[in-house]
Amino acid sequence: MGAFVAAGYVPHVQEQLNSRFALGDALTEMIGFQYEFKLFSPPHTLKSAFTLLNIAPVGEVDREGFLKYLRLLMKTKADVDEEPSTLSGHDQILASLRENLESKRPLPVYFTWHPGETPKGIVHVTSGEPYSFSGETYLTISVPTVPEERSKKRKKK
Amino acid sequence: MRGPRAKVRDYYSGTVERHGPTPLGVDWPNAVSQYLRFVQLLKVCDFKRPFSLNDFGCGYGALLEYLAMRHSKTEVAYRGIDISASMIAAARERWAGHDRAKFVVGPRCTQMADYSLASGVFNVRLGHPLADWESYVESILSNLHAGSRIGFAVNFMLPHDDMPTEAELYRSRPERWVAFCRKKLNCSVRVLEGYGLREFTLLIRRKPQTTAPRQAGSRKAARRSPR
Repeated sequence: MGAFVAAGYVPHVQEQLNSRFALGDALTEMIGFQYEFKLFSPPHTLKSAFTLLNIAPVGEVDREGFLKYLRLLMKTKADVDEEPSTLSGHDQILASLRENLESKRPLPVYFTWHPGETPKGIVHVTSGEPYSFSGETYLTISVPTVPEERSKKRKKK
Repeated sequence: MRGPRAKVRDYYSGTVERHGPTPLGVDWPNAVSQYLRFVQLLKVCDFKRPFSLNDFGCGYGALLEYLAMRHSKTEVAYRGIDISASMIAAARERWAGHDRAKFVVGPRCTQMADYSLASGVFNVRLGHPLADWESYVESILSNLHAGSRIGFAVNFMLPHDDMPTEAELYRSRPERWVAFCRKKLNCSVRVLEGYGLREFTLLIRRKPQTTAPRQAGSRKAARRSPR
């Protein structure tokens, strides 16, 4: 994100994602959606799943940027618990969400970001306790981001 | 204070005018939750044969999207009814090319169909006193019953265990409405719960007509009837 969605909107999208997968009614709903519609299984993509869930920035330009960013994740790499994955970042996110929601004890999911690695960034999937005020374990998905400034410089070149 | 129907009409006219023919336009957070409700409600229908359907509180006709997606092989004569003229205008525009869908503005079903559905129509109470709202719910259920040859289906939000119901919303346990449908409407009722949403769905079917016990004189009536 960053380069694709106005920086001010990134926390807003993160909030939408984290609310959708939060412990309680939200997570129970996601389990129901996966059970009935296989929302995170092929042929669905992150784009189709998030569109159905109405997760996106508000403005048209940023919405398009967000969807473009989701497609870009198909070109990134991924690791799970620091072990390299054979899947792309995009497919690893789908696989991890699917596996989690279909497991006997699904975890709430925490989405975050980190500075994108060169050349194309890596999606990191782990589990842990992201909130210092809660002892709850979350599946954590961290996506690579490009700072807005770096992207603007690239475009000028 | 204005009656429930007028306030409900104004409320939903406002949502569709703000958000257009989208899930937010009918006050649902997203398309998936809407579809998951349709999955449950449509369990009252037999998709092995064509049927007619009243969709009460149809909004912009999202149910037609879902029917096309999952039940395209079954012929459904669809009639959408909504209290909001703005909503029906949006539905007519959205489904202008659909040859088996009709939309009408109104506070109740006025034509008989094989089945009727109502999704989310009892949830937004808009501050009406509980007793008034429950009378309103009873009147809608009675109307759905009168307008359905085989059965109908509705959903209600369940209460939270640890907090009171919001004044703007209506939440209920199944027992209240199962009893109403069984005793007052003389129907059989199946309750669906635990499908992921904090709500329950009632599948309500008319009981098969039972033959009256034969009494003295009934043989004559039986002989006469074939003529």
